[in-house]
Amino acid sequence: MLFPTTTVGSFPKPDWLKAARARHARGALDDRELDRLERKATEEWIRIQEEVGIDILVDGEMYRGDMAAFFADRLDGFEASGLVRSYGNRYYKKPIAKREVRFREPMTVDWWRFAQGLTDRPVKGILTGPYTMMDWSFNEAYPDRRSLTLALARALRHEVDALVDAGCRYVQIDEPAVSTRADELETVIEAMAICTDGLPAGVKTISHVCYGDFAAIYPDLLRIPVHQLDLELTNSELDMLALFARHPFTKEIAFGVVDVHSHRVETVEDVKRRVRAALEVIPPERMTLDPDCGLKTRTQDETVAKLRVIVQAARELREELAAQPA
Amino acid sequence: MLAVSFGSYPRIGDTPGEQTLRRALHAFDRDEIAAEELEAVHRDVVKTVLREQAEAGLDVVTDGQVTWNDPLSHVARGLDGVEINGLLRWFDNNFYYRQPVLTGPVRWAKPILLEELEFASAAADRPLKAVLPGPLTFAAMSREGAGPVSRAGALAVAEALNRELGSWAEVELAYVQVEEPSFGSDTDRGFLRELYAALLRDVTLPVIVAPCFRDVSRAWPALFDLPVAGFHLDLRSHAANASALDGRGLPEDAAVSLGVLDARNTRRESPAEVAREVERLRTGLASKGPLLLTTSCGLEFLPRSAARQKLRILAEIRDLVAGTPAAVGAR
Repeated sequence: MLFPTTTVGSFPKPDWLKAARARHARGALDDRELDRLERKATEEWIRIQEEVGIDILVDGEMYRGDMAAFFADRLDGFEASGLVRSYGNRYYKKPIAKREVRFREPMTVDWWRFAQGLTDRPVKGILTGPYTMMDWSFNEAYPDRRSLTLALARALRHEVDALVDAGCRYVQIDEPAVSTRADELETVIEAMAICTDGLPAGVKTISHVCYGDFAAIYPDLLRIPVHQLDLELTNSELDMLALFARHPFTKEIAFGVVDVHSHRVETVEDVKRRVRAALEVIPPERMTLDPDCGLKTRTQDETVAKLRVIVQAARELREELAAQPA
Repeated sequence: MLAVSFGSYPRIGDTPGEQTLRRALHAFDRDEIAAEELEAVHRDVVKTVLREQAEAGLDVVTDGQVTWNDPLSHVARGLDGVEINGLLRWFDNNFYYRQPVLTGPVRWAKPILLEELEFASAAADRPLKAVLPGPLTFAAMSREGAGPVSRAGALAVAEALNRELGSWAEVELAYVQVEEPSFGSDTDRGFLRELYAALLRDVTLPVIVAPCFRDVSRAWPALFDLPVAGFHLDLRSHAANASALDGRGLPEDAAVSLGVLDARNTRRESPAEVAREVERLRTGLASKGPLLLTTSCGLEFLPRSAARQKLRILAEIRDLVAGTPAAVGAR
């Protein structure tokens, strides 16, 4: 089927779950009750994705806070730091790699099993990639950025294997920090190879990357050893298509067709126009449609409306292509 | 040799008492407190930040840029013809700034930082350094309409910042640090000279031009063309940057600001090791001007407890390195 639809990973948490997480953080709610509520929210998102007609689902990350800290908290070797500013009056606890980083036990597999158990459609397993984990942590344990990245890759490979052993067939390893330093792309590639080399046939590997100066790392970006790159194209006004015209995009692409930073819900025609522009440089059989990035900062209504637009646009595009003479 | 604060300092810490500003900003956003109350909290935090730098043993302090939301928008929003847009990544940091957009003729209308500097200068018990974004970086990180900032736009920014510097004439300042993280080997040397001629016209303040984050191992000597008092070198973001000090052409009386501690990592450096490195670098320096020991960049990428520790290490390194103290603010 042409133009399968998916999403990048996160969905907005319902208000009742945000309140529960705050109570849990204060010690006013126990682990079991929080877990029950997180499962309830996960199930709701699975139902919504099925009802909207998304093809490849995600668990929505109801149980994750910060995408680096979630994994750092569950790996050996990390400690939480004090608060660090991300912008304006916003702060986060940036993890510190204090000692040798090691895999302890599966971090996302139970959640993947739970989500997959709720649906017949495939559910992606989603991890924060080793380079991004390194870039978003302080490093007190390793001599340089590369060695911490590779240690993280070796630890995360255990998680990838555990997901695959559990039956996961779509493994997404996100590297939003990939464009931070163009001169470190080789490290990204080396680390991703540790995570993906030799996986069984039938396992599709994906990496979501976003933001930044892609002109500086393209076409080398294509050497990241995954089957599919998931790219934020809408927010950058499709600038990347010009790069693909000069040097062909040789992988599968998950093409971000709606802006996750805008409250405005795009029209079906907006999305189809973006896809038609991309079809000039990428063949349809290599294209999956999804939003630019995780949707956790949008409201539930905005999220669902954006997903419906993507699904409808995919349907219409399939029909249009089928109607065209070969 | 002086231990000098680079610029920014974490505005909040991890204890409830260190988070007054965070709470005040939330309350201000919800219209629960007036602008005067927020300003009072800002001033309290500036005093705290000045005290922490003094307690660590620094010779030259800053106001910590406590009122700044990011390295550009705080100054940019004070200029006519500039609007502030959405969030973008600040170089290779997981830190985001609001992008200035040049929407009309850029003009300086009134002093932007003057009151803050007067307050800090009065509150500090030792020499103060002021910080200003440089015109090269301002232009590179902003937009003009929908596209990049034109040369004319960049020159207009430099002229506006020149008026801002002019307004500081009565403030007692040891140094003015003009921050240029955009500077690197891709910088047009001739245009940089033009920008700095505009920025520093009739300015007598001792200006340190401060690139950081990037590899400037080859590009650094291009800064020697500029009519400034001194040059900063970030020794920690790229190992190759130390080799910039081997080059010739450093003006004899220039102040050299060495970023010897990594302000983007919590790892505690060994004072003895860094002191030996400073000794080694100092013997090769052509300049007889003041040597300023500082961090690689501002400290706001660290938790406050780690920032305090970096400053104490800095003072320790200064004490370990033998040498006669240089005159503060000497050109």
